[in-house]
Amino acid sequence: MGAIDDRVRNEERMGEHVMVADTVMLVEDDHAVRSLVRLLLEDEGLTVVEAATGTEAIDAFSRHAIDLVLLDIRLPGMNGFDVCRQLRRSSDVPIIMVTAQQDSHDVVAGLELGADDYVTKPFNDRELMARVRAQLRRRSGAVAAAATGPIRTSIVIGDLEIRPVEGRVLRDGEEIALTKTEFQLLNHLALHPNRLWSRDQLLEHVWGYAYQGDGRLVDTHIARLRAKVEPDPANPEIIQTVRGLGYRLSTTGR
Amino acid sequence: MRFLPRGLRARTTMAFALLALVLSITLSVVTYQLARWYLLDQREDLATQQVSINALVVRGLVAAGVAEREDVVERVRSLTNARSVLRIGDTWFASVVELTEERVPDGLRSEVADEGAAKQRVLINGAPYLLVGVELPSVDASYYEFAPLSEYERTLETLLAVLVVGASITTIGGAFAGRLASRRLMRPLRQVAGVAQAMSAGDLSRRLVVDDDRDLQPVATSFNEMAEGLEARIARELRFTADVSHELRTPLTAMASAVGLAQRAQLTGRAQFAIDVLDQQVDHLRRLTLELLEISRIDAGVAELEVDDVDVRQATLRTMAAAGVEATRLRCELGDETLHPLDRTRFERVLANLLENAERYAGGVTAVELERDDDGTLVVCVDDAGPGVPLEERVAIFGRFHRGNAEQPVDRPKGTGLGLSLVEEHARLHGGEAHVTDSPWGGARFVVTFPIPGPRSAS
Repeated sequence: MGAIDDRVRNEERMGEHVMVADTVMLVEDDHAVRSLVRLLLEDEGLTVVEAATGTEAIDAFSRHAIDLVLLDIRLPGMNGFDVCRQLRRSSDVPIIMVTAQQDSHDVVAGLELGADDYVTKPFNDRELMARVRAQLRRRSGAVAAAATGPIRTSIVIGDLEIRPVEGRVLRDGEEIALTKTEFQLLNHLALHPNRLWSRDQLLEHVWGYAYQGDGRLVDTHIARLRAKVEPDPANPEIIQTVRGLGYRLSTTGR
Repeated sequence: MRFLPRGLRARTTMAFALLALVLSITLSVVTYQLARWYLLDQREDLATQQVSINALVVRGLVAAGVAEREDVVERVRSLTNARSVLRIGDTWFASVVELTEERVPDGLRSEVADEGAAKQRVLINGAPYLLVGVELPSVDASYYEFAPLSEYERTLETLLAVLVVGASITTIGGAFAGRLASRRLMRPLRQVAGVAQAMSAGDLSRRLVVDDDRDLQPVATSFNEMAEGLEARIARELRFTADVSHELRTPLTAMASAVGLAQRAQLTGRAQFAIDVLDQQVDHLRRLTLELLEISRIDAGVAELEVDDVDVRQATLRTMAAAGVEATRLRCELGDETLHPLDRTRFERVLANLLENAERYAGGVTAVELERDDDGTLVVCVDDAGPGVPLEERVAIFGRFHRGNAEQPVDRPKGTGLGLSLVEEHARLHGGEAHVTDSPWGGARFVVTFPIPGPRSAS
């Protein structure tokens, strides 16, 4: 019921030409960090839903319309990975993980579970806000498509059909479930077939970062995307790796 | 050429061979001497007996008054083929031309005269003879006979040759036995080496198989105990680092967020100043913590190298842009070969730290250079516009929390004092190194190398 209430409220405000306040769910067990980050997010004009544990997070997610999840990996009981896995079963909501170590397995593990980005503790407010804004900015596939080129209603590659405006990908008419980042990555590559994109370029165009993203973001998302759209993910034909340089979407196969 | 073998196997083989050689030489010498003594002794006995008999014959012949006294030796010779010399009174007779009384040494003559009989070994024209003399007082004569010993010498020579061949074979056999034995001895050592290598490659759970060999058991057991201890220590180390990391990160995050929040408020001049100082200090503490944690992970041996083919030109440009260094400062000598296998994150941190160092202490970056050695090693040089680093500082500058004579800029936040240490540690993780020298354009040049990772070496 809560989710519907939120939607109704948001739509009412839209009707009144009030800017829609995006809702961020903040999952963090430390009270001080949680309340401070809440204030920072509210300063940005965002609505915040707090959760101190994994179970609370799952519960809150089902009751509110959430536009972005800020998820600490170290949680007592059900940890951040479990929460991420569970959320991804039913939702493509953008997820930013909060990890302790930049070069730990946590980062890769979280990204492989479907997180869209990560920040490392201790972060400062500028870093955090840059990532939050980047994720919210490209929430809708249609917006990104419009920003990068002429709107096309349909792009066909082999038996794949990408519908940028609807934010959907079909294979033989069946929809493939992609997260928003995965979709935008595919869409971006498909808009420029056979062109080589470096990791940095993809970070800039798909994630919206200049000079500060992590190449592993691109690599893990490419891997997840391949697992979903390639007939044989071990021998990718559509999304090809150019060793050391980046990726390219091939319309001709190998 | 190496004369002393260094390997345990070679040494064992050598020791066995030497032992076999010494033993067989000893055995050969003893055998030869015994055989020689026995053979010659027998020959002497025989010869002495024969001479005694011949002497009796000669005495008979002389006593019977043979007309021609030369005939006596001739007769004896025809009877026994003896080569003899005979003295009757003052006259000497010889049966063979080259064996005359001149060949009978004076010592022997007087010994024969005193004792009645004597013998002595003599060499005549290189051939060995036994010279036996018998005094015949009843007829005022002395009878000497030369018994040749050369056949026995020949037998002994053959024996010697056989013994030398035998000794050689024994030595080779000894070496072979040594090699076999050392292989057996080395087997457990090789096992230890294999496990140690696996452990240093990161597989800390590997252990030696403890078998029931009474000599090897203590070694294997203590090795395994050591491995156990090492594994536990590293696990403890890891857990501690992770705990410290988490315990420090959360309050730091809270502090950074609090300061960030305060910065958004309208503050009075004094409060704003206080918040600005706090902001800088929190940021400093945050960077310090991150760098300390990074160093402690490297020290604990738990830092992982994620090697990938990286376009180093692109990565360098990206890092330079992030540090606000113009792209025109890059001199890339790599041509089209811009890929190099290394850990992208660490490479970028090395470069970022060097750029920051140059900007902070040395008036800015004048050039960044990428080039490749003959053996494929990637060499990164960062030149600055500063006064250079004095010789005595060039090693110390990479020390942790080293504070050199370079002036701390007032208008920028303090450096952590760990930047250059981390540069060196990251380079070392790649098997490379970092040092500082003079830039050809004045100022200092920091050089970091990234070799091509070989097949994992044990070091």
